Amino acid sequence: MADRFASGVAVALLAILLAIVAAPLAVVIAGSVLDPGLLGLSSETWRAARHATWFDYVLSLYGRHLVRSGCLAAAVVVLSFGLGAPAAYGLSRREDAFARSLGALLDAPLAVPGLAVAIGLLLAYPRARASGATLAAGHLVYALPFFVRAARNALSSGGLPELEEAAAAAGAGGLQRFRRIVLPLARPGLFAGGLMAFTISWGEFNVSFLLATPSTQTFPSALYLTYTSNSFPVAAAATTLFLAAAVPPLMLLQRIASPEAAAFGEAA
Amino acid sequence: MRPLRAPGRSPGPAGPSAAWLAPAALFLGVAFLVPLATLVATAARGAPGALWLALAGVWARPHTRHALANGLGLSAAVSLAAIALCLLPAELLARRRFPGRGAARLLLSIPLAFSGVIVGFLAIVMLGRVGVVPSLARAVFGRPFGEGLAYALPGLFLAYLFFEIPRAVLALEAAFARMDPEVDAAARTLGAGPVRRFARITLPALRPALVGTFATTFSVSLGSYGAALILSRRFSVLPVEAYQEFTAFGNDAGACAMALWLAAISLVVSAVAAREARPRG
Repeated sequence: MADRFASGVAVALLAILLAIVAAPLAVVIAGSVLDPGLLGLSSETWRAARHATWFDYVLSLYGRHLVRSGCLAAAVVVLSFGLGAPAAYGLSRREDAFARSLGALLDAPLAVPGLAVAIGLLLAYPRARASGATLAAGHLVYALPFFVRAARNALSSGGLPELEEAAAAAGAGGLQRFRRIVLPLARPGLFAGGLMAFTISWGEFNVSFLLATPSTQTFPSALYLTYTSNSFPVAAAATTLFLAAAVPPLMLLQRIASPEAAAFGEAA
Repeated sequence: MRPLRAPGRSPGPAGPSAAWLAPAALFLGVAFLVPLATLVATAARGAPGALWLALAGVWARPHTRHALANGLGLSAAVSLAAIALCLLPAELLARRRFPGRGAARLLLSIPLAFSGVIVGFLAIVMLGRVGVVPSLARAVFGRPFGEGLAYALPGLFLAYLFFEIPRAVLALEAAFARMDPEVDAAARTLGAGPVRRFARITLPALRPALVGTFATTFSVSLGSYGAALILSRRFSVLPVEAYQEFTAFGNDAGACAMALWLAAISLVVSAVAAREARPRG
């Protein structure tokens, strides 16, 4: 009886959480395709004649930002792999002081606001701003901990020390072991970590808003412009485009076995 | 015969050398530690003693002190609310298999990808002056409810809650999944009721995860400013002040001092949480 009551409360709370998340998303997606008057939301009936839908209009306004954010997120994924895969390998096998401090240093950015890192990057490297280098570095600082954690989770489950011992006895060098043993073992983690890195970079605002110049502005910054200067249907269409790229990686993450993907929740 | 090595110490002959860690260490030094040091140097304007003056200045001015206190209160309240709301649903997701479970987890994880500005926009859509909730309330009850709530404190609270929900749910779900269900089952066999089992078994086992979840959600809320930038009219938070100080007034030292306050508070909360989460003994 009491057990049934407890699970009833749990189900009710879950329903409330789902409603809190789903309701605004449903309204925004509906608002981007339906006549906003139906939702009682818009005071504007103007629609540019050249544009068949609000999506076309958003793409003509912010298409460049969309492409730029996509390229930036892809670059962050590649850089996360380049820096994070060797680091995950080293961290999962070494327990010396250097490894421990790097482990702590990797997680430290999660406890430092993006704005603080952005101001620091801007003041430390004022000339690198125009090229977008500091912007990418800021994104990478926040993506790397998740990537490394996911890769380490994958490596911790697979008998890596024994495999390496055997490979070393057979004459395999460090690079060869990394390529033939570590990367295949870590693959699910690398994949999950890449998806997390993409998701983080794609939605990043705290660092980007300050570090971006007009020529390196990302899509979330463009969203800020839409929200402050465009009407509801335009803003809703822009948000729907943002969601269209953000949701597929999250869906893929869901399908991956939980130990690798769990890193997102634990550290997010 | 090879000498035995202590388990878990040096990786032995077939392990990675420290060079594998070098690229990441170098990057974090250049892109994280140097910027933090620059914050300190800029806030101090080159004189070591001036750093404390600059930090005290943030607290001394009522404007920035209120913004900091607002952010601290809001972040703490939102984190506690998120944990309280998400605890039982997280257990449900971790322990039960039911149709729609995957879809529910996916939906709850979507706000992870959001920046604060999107959440601010969603709050306006739902609770703005002509938001969905007031409009619905007018249609159903004949008078609007929650009109313009988005711009007041409750709206900001709900907006922050919105993007802490996935962090709390996923972290607590992972913690429940790691727990040993046998202990709970044994207590049930011995006749302990659900409330008692929850208080005596689940909560103590979950303590590290609860503390850790509070620390992450608190840090994220304290440092996020997109939602406040979109929503708050009278209610300011420190990141917004720092942003304006930096961009509009060109007061680098003042902005750095505020950024240092935020970073220091978050780092201390995380360090305390990490200490608490370590197994005793």
